[in-house]
Amino acid sequence: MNEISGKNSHSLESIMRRLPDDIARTLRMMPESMSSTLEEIRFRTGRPVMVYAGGREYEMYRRDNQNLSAEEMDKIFNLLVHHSAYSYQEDIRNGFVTLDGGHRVGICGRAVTDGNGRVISIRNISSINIRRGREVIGVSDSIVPYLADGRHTVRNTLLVSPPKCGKTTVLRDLIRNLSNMGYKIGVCDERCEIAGSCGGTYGFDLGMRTDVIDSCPKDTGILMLIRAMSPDVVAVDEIGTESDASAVERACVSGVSVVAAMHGNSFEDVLRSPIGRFVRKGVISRLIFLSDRPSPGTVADIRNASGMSLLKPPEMNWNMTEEDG
Amino acid sequence: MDTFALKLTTAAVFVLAGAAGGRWQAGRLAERVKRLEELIGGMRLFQSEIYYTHERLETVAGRLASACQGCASRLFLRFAEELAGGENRDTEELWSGAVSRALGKDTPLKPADLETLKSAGVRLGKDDIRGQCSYIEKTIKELEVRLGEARQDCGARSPLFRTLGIAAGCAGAILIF
Repeated sequence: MNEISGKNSHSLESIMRRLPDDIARTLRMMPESMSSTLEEIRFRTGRPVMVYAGGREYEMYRRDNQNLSAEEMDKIFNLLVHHSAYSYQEDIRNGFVTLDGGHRVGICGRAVTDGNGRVISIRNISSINIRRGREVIGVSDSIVPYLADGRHTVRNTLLVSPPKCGKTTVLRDLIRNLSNMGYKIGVCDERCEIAGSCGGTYGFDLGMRTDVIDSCPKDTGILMLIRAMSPDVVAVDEIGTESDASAVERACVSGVSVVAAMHGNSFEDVLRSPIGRFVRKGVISRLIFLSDRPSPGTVADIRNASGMSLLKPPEMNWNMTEEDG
Repeated sequence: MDTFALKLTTAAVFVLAGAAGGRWQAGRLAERVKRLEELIGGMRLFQSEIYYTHERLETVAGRLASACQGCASRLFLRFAEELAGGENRDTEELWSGAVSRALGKDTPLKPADLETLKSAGVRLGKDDIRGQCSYIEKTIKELEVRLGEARQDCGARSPLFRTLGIAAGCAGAILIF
């Protein structure tokens, strides 16, 4: 319990250090109950700072009811990217950057495109959304028996939920658990969110048998991991495109298990996605559906490839709040 | 010592002091040229580092502090220190502070030279690679114009200052007599 709080308060401080003094000072005055459940901080030009914690929305009070000016937004962005926007160019063109500690910063503004309509940069930043990366040790403990027993190969598994339901947090802990059970895990962390990498070191505990390739496109990264690290399991976040599906297919035919997270609401959503064909064929045999009710990380259902629920509700009534962590 | 000898000694001191003053002024003009050359060289390296390494400003500035020479080295060392210690301050403010602290004191550079250099901070760290390099290139071009002026100044006014120094010393010596 202490370990979780400690890690999370440390991770919050890594966000505060990258914000202008006046905003950071106000945010540091948040009550413990709010800071421990903080999910997002949103900045918009001409609007007040909004904070989302514990499923509720708060407006940050600033002196003279001041809204954020374009100059302040410019400064916030500049600080978040360590005064080096050019260094994050590839991320910015995808609409986000990742802070040290695995916090994802989504950005909106004026997209600059090349002759082919490809976004090459975003200027005049008008919205910034800092999503806090969290580590909740033990959140996946109840899921693990459905995918692995430590002796046989891990079942190909999908974590499915809409955004903000704790997919990445559960995946991170699942990786740690499987790694500590003896499986070699290769993590393809395209957005540096799973491992929270910074300068070659990792902000989150992913277990003792985990290798991470970060900032690499998933389709390329999965193949590189298979060739270079011979993992038992490859773990990836937010798959869903056709190229991701091809990479998953190549992993499966190589005898490597895949544990992945994807956006979706239901079993039917998964079947309709490019990943759906693997479920129909029975290649992916475990689908774990997460919900944000009563809190993010709640397991809503666990199904097999034919769509049959394996979950016995009373046994799986847990969530990822601090108390349960 | 008689009065004549004393006057002669004082006159000699005047002439020497005048000549030294003239040389010092001329030296400052030459020093301005040297420093502008160092700064242009430093900015070129800065541009290349950003273009080829894509690394953060703090890392780039730290590396340039040892790769550059003279005042450019001091500037980038100071900038790296400002970046390390000024997490909550804007890049423009940090760059401007580094220019003032590293080059502003007792400098042969003109205020306009420093302003040109400070203007590089306006978009520093806020653009993509292409924008960043273009903006540094703009500063380099402006510094090259300043360097051209400084060379012209040095060529035209250095002999003048030297002559004026000696002349002023001689005039003082004459007045003594």
